[in-house]
Amino acid sequence: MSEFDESVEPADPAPETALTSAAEAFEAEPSFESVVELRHVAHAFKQHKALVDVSFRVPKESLHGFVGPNGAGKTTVLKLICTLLQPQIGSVRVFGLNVASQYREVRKRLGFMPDHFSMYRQMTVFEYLDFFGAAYGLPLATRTRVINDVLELTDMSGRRQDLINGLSRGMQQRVGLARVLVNDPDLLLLDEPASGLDPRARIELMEILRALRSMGKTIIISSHILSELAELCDSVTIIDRGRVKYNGTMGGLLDGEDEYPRWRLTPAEPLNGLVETISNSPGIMGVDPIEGSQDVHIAFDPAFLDTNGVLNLAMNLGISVRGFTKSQKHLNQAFMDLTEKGVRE
Amino acid sequence: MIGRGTFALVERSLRVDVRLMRTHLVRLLFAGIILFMLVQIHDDISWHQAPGKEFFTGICYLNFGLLNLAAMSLFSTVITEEKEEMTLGLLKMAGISPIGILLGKTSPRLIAAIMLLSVQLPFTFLAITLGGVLTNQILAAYLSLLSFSVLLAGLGAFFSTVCRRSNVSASLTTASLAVIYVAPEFVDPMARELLRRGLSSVWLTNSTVWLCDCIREATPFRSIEEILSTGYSGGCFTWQVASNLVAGAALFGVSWLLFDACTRNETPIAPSRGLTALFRRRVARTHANPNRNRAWANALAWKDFHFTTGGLTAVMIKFGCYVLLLTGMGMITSRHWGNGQVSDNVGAMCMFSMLMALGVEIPIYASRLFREEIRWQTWSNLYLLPVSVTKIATDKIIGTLPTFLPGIIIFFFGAIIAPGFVDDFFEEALDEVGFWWFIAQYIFGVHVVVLLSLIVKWGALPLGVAVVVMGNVLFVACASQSRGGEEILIVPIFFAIVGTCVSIALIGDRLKSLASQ
Repeated sequence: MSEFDESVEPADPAPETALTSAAEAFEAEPSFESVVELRHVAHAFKQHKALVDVSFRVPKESLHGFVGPNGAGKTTVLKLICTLLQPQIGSVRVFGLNVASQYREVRKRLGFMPDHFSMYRQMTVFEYLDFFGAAYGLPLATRTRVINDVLELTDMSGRRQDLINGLSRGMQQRVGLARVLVNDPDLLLLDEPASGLDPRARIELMEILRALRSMGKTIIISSHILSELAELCDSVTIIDRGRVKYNGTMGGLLDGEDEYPRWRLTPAEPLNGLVETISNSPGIMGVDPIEGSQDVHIAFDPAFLDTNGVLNLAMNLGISVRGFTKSQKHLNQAFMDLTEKGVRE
Repeated sequence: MIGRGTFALVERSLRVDVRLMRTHLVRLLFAGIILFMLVQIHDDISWHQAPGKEFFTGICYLNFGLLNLAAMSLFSTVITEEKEEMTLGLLKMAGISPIGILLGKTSPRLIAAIMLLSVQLPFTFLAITLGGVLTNQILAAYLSLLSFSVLLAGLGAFFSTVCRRSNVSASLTTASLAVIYVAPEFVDPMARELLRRGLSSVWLTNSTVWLCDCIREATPFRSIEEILSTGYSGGCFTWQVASNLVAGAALFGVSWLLFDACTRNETPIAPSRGLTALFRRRVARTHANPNRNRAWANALAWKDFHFTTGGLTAVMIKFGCYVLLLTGMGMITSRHWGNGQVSDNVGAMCMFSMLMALGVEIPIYASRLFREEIRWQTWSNLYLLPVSVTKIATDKIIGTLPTFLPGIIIFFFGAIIAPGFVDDFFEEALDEVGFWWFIAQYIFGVHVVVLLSLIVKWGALPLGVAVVVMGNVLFVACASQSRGGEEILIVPIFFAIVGTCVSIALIGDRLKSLASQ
């Protein structure tokens, strides 16, 4: 215990702000029903502290992204949630159940797809799913129906009698996903499901995940492919060096922590001297030209102006407006801002 | 042909070997055993006519056993481990020739074996002081073991070049050694019996008997016995040394010749469906009835029965093989049966043979019980099932049990046709402490094998057997000092029971830890 008490040291200045806000956000009462809740979890492998102080929640029926650099502790967290590991410090609750003491109940309700192909590759697709269906105690008739359903969902019905060993990586990944779905879990944990897949297989996998979310499943997906996570996920947790750097909605992360809303104005012609005129207008809190383009970021005080007001102002100044969109960070940028440089020792 | 790459391989292996703690622990353990043997002989010196000879004979057979263990695990995986890691192509691309790879991979392991032999040399010269053995005998015995290690290295290199998987290579190496040691004892009398019945020619019989003698002479068993006989005047360079060196070099040469052909296509290693392929075709044929050949309610038992033990097809093939083997044995031994009833003799043979077969089969399947799951990274999926590890293990054992049916059926067939033999056996054996000692050690040994299969990559079975046998040999050596009766065996029975319980706990812990890796 003391080892970890001492190890909770302050992070570097920039990430500390994010860390504090993530911790504060966690301590506040959530506005949603959470399926997974980690409270001040720490875990070490011998001398290596994999997780230092991890706390976050995952809302019910959400697609939750879990992002972090290599060695950040993502897989450790997923293993803690799926009961493969027991937390050394702190608590992990899944559906309100303690993973340490109620692991059997937790296991009945979740499906974990690891980042490696752990399959009985000498079996056919049908045998493999049939085996896991039976292992989860499904009766024969139910098993047949469920297997047909999951094969259809993963678009593998035509390959049911094929040996798994003969399938492509993308197809094996689908079989892995089908296996996870056999016991109809409420929570899916997918560790790097898109790694090594070609673009088509990746897009198809994302479609399957969207379909699963629409069925009411909660999905936690760990991935390095940030652009796809940004499109797919409702909420996100960013972890770095064993600490949570952000936990919240994807929108909240991409909007950033600016005091005033920022919108991007795309004029048909260069603004030239009009930038200063706009800046001095009431309610406008700042105008920042964007390097390499004629676009500007406009920050405004919503107490004085709304987006229509800003647009009217521009048009009244004779600006021919081509585009006016909410300014968001790219997930890549948010990720870079929150995580530290270099490889974890 | 042999360039910088080869030396880099050798150097790397030796460096890794030196850095590993277990290398030094094995050597320390070995030195400890020698010291123990020395103390034993010294304490017992008044009871022995030639204590030095007895001490040295023990060391020779200990070395012989360890070299066999090395062949089954270290030598037989030299090339297959590169194939499995898919790094053989990288070595080839680095410009290392086939002979370079073979030498670079084999020689560090051969050096390790030779180191183990050479490090004991100074201690073994103490045998001369103790009396009963001379310097030339010690040197001849070590040369015999050295040449044998060359043969074993060649055998391992050959099988690891030809085979794609380490377990197949290790199994074939073990089977070859078993054939070398045991086959002459079966083939020789069988050839004579066939000649007696007029089913074979004199020339063929003589050739077979000569070949069997040559094989016997080529093993260190016979050679060491001869070298350590009183008044040995032969040189160091015996037939066994020459034949072993030539055979080792020949096997190495064949491995070199076959290397390119056997390693041309680098394919990812996947678990084999084996005999279950037949089962699958049956599934396809009976597709009209989708409920046939489905996973049983006990899914783990179903999986292990079909995909670990080979299913019904394997059971039937095994049954046929046992019946054939027993028929052959019956033919050979029938003239020695005397005047007793044939049924008694057949029954005794069936029971005895099947006990032996089951005794060998059980540890083999025990070593594979969890090993295959760990190897193919499927254990974490099973561990996540909402049942306890004990239930998973029990179901897996249930799935393995049908594979023992042929042996059990033939055993009971023997018991039915020779009931008198069973009565005698139970009357005598059940009252003997020695019987219970053997059973306790056997059960302990099986658990040790399972535990080791979760720790070491290859060779859990021979290692487990060696650990238990060595432990008992040491105990018997200590117990002999007490000059007590058979009751002393209660001590190892107690330790075996405790050891079994500890092993079960350690297996559980190890399984838990492996699931999270």
